[in-house]
Amino acid sequence: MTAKEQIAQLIREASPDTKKAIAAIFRIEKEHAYHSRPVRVKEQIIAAIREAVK
Amino acid sequence: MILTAIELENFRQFRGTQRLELSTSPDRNVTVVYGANGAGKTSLLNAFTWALYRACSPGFEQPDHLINEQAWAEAQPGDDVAATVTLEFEHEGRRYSVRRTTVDRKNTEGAASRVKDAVVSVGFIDEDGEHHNRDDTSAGTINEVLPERLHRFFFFDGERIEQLVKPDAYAEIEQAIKGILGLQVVENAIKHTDEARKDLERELRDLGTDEDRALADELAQVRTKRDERRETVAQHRRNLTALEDERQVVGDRLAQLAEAATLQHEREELERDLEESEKSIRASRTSLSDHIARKGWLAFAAGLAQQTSAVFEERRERGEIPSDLKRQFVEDLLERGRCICGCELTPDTDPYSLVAEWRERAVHADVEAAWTRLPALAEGTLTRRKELYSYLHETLAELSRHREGRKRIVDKLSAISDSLRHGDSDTVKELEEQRERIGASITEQQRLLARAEVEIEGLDERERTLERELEKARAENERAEIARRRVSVARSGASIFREILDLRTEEVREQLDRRIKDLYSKISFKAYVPLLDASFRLDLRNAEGQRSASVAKSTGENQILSLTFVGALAEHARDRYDEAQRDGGDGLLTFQGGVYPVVMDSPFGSLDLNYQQRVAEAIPHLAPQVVVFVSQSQGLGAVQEQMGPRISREYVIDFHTPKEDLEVETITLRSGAYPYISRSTAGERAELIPVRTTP
Repeated sequence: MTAKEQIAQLIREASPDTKKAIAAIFRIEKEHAYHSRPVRVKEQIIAAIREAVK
Repeated sequence: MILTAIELENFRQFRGTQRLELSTSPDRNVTVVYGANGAGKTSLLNAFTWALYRACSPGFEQPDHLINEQAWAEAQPGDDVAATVTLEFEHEGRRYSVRRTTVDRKNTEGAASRVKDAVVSVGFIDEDGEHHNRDDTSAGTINEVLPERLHRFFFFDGERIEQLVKPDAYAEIEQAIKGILGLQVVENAIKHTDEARKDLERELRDLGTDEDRALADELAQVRTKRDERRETVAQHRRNLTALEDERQVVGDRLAQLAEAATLQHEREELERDLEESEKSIRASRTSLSDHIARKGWLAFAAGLAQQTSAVFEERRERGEIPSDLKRQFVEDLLERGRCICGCELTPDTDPYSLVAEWRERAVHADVEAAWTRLPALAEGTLTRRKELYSYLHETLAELSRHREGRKRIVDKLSAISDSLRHGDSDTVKELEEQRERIGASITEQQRLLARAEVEIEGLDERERTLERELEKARAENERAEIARRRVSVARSGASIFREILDLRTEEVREQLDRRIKDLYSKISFKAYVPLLDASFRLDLRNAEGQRSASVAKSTGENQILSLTFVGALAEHARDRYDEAQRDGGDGLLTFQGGVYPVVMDSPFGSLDLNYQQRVAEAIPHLAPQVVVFVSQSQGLGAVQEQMGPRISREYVIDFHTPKEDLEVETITLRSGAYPYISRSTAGERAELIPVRTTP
């Protein structure tokens, strides 16, 4: 199994809450990836997790 | 990213404004700048990295003194003097301009006070021709185009590039691999999700009872301790790698000494045998524990099988098996309400009760069938038990043979060490003693590593227990339940990101290893095989796949290997970039990569002619765009000969110096002779002279 397939499987097997959260976290990190001083990333991730688990 | 031009203004040796247009042609992708030692080649290389990242190479002296000395000397008190570099490049259809400036003010004593400290601005013209300026996010913009952590692989001093194959470079290589994949996004996700989890755990703790809090506190302590142990394990691994490299270096030195060479080579072979022997011991042990875990119960089943057979035999002798009367037959009589003798069977009557009693005595058909199968099963169990014992005897005997073999090897190794320690040569004696000390340190590090790993296992187990207890304690509190689920999502999210990071890193390491092998075989004429191993160590092996003293001693081979790594990295980044463009590339499964130029100073260093030609031949193929700085004495012939057809732009740095005893020099290129070192009446300065432009 390739790494890509293994990652796809990992995500497939995650709980719906976790799936929602990791997609949101990844989006947040991509937005901040190239900022030399990332601002309030942790707070945005907490908000994303709260949104995923209500 | 394709570099189009660089402009320097009063930057180090470059007085006034000097502009270098760079080749952007895919076929003639090389730009060459010739310059004498000290003329400004290294300054030019550093102008690129300073403009982009405010970074200078390790060998660049006085990186804070960038303003041209002549410009500074001519300035009046109160004047501001600036050193500026403007780098122009194209990326994804946009034309960018990065401008970085440092300004100093001259006071009345002639001293400098900084007015602007490496201030940067990025401007770009988008696809629609609109001009934009980004002062506040300029670092982010540049990182988006070529991540800072990668710049040392694409802007480098050729004489230092061989550092990549030094034993301690593996951490840098690992970082490069992660950088090229854009995996810092995943690394950041792990870090920030872990931080978020800690905050969510605090929230959860506040919602709980005293009992919950006590459990949560202990859980936090366990995790902190476990994280500390993980760092300890990582440190022990780093120490081990460094010690093993150190031992290899001592071994290589022994192998080069005539009085120790034979024994050292014998030892290297024995160490390989020892490794094989230990592998076999581990395999036998694993097989044994696997068999015992799956079939070990058979050892205790002999009595059970015998007893079962005895009971079966006894029942059979009593005529109970097979039974004459089946339970189903009695049940059918009761249901029909009439016995075979014709008597009516009505519930709660004596005839009914009498027949019903037979139902209890009769054997159920399935049970009887199972009983019938029992002797065969019991027999099978005894056979499998015999097979297990036979396997255990054989494997234990094999293990014992391996252990004896290992002991023989260890004894031989010990004898070699004794011979070397007690020989006539003091050098050999000292080296052997040094090797032993390193060996003792390795054993100690292995012991500490094993202890820390066991501790981590214990802490992991304790963490799981506490998590279960905590979940149970909080189950009835609804708000706490939501908070608990959030913590759980944060934890599993971070764990998924960790797995993604590991999978991706290993995948790209394997792919790079293949590319490096392929590229190296095209460039080097030696029968060595490069290897980027699982711990990101880049080195050369002999045809048997072994490291040994004879392999990779030459600077030329190391330099070729390092260039191969850079080439493989650039190629991989390009492929990932193409893949990301094709697939949309914004998800967890694809990573961006990029198209990067290679800018290198002194690519030939002190290589002999043969290597110079091979390296010169390889350079144009390293990246879509290559900029090379060389001196007349270091590789001029190789550049002209091997790279000639790929060169589109050439420059000479004419170095003006007031030194009277210095001879004026010219450099002769195909297009003619050009000033190389000139006499100056007004201090030192460097001037870029365009030589040739071939479209």
